[in-house]
Amino acid sequence: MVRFVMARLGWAVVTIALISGVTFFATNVVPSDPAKVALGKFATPEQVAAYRLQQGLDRPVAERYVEWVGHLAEGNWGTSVLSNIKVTQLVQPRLGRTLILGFGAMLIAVPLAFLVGVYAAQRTGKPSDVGLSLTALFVNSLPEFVVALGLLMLLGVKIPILPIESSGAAFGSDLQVPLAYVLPMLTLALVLTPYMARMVRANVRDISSHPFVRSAVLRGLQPTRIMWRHIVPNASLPVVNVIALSTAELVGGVVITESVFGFPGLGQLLVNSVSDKDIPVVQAIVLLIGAGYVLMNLLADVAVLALNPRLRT
Amino acid sequence: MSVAETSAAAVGSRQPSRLVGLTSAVVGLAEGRIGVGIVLVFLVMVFFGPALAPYGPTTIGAGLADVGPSTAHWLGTDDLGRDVYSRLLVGASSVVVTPLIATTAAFIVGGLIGLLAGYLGGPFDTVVGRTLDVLLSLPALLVVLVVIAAFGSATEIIVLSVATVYTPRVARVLRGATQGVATREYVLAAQARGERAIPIVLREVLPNIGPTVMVEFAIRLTYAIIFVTTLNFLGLGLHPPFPNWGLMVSESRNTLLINPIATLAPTIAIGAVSVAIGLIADAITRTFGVEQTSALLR
Repeated sequence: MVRFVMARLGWAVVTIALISGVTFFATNVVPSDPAKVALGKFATPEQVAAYRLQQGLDRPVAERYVEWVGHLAEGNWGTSVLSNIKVTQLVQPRLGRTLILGFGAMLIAVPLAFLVGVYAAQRTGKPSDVGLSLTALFVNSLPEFVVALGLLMLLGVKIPILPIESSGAAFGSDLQVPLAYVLPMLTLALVLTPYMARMVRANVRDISSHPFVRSAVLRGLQPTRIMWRHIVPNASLPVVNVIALSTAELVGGVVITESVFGFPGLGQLLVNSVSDKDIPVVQAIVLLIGAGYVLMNLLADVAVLALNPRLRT
Repeated sequence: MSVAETSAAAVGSRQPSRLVGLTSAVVGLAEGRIGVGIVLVFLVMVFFGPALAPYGPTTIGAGLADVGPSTAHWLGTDDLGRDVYSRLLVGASSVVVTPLIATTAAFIVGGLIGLLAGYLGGPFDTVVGRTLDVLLSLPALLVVLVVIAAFGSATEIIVLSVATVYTPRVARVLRGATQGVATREYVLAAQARGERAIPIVLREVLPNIGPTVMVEFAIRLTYAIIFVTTLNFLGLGLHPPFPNWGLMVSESRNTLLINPIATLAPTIAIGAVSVAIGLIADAITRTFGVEQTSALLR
């Protein structure tokens, strides 16, 4: 077991190293010269040369990469080229908001997926099951921003109970702050649910055919009890992996949803920084989101291990 | 399919009969019919859209700004008085061309890698498998955003980056499907005839995993359309005044409250196209019973 956890941990470190490497080299190799980005179109060759010398850009890329990683470890994440504000200062308040948004969406999506999946499995082949599976297919085929705009039209415009724009998460009053989270969170939850629900349904159906379920039925246990105490716990093991896989979708979804609603989180800052070619900020956010994603996968692996005694050898 | 049809199909040449069989099977299902119907309407828009458009797609002031539907402007006008219906018609091709090229490229490269890895096995397969695992652990949107931040958002860059991100995903699915048929008799027969690896995977393996390939292609194409439209919506990629659907949504979003149809029309159009291709993929899955769980993830 220790060996397994160590292997997964090594895997996580390799992935993070790869993300940092890809990010750094992609943003430091031609054609996007950081000096030209920082100084703009009208910089003279002399200015570019002076900037390169000042920032140490004349040294080999590999050497700068090592130095960059060292600075990251010390908590020096560089300075925004655009606003000249420290990256840590820019990122810190947004990180908390994005984490709340992501975890909140998962907290809605996972129970919802179980409810829908179990309901559909109990009614396999009936119209309600077919309807749910078509709805899942439908939602799964829609881009996140379409889902976001649909919810916005419904809950912000038709029935105006929620703010149509989420900058209140940063500057709003006590009531506006939580309200600003609702629409982005619902959007993410809605995007994440179909795949998970489909997997829950498949696993519940699979487990239902096992002999121990028949014996529970023959012992005269209540159907609800059989479902939630006997079938669902056994069916949820593979779903843990699915939840981990869904974090990849969550990563993309967060970036898009935040941009749609103007939610002041990491994703919105990332998209703006990509448009502005504010490379230090892009690097920092990609690393942070990438690390969070790797961490979620690691947690899922350990959770599967903890839930399945057969793997603990 | 009845017995008579099957034998008739078997008498004819192999390739067309497969396609005919597939088409009739897909259209036989209600969801397949809906999907094919929407895709046909969309194709008409792609090929004849520019000819059918009543106004120029970038003509400012074709009508009053932000007016709802009328006989002159079927879908109203946007905030610059441009005709939404004309923009929708002309913009259709930009929605599908970039994703189609990217998906095709991913299938040519990733498909060949997956076929060879699944067929050859051994150390080559181990190396490819491990590499795929590493590449798949990188979130797609992050990779593409880093590439755009570094190299800009020209269409070539977007095609290349989306193709790169999808290549390992395609390779993994086709590798798995190939492993399933690699030890069948017809493959062994081809090996006994002394054929080389690439002809074997292309002529023996590929036709026999056809349904899996088609489902994966349809699903990948849907996700590529979603991906590229999302990039356009985020302002990365095509630039105004180009009549791209994703751009139209983000441009007219500010006037959502005054004139919702200018935002809703392109939004619904995007949704309809991606859902339609998803429906076709689902219909193929149902007809052939293809495993598609791995492909469901974006």
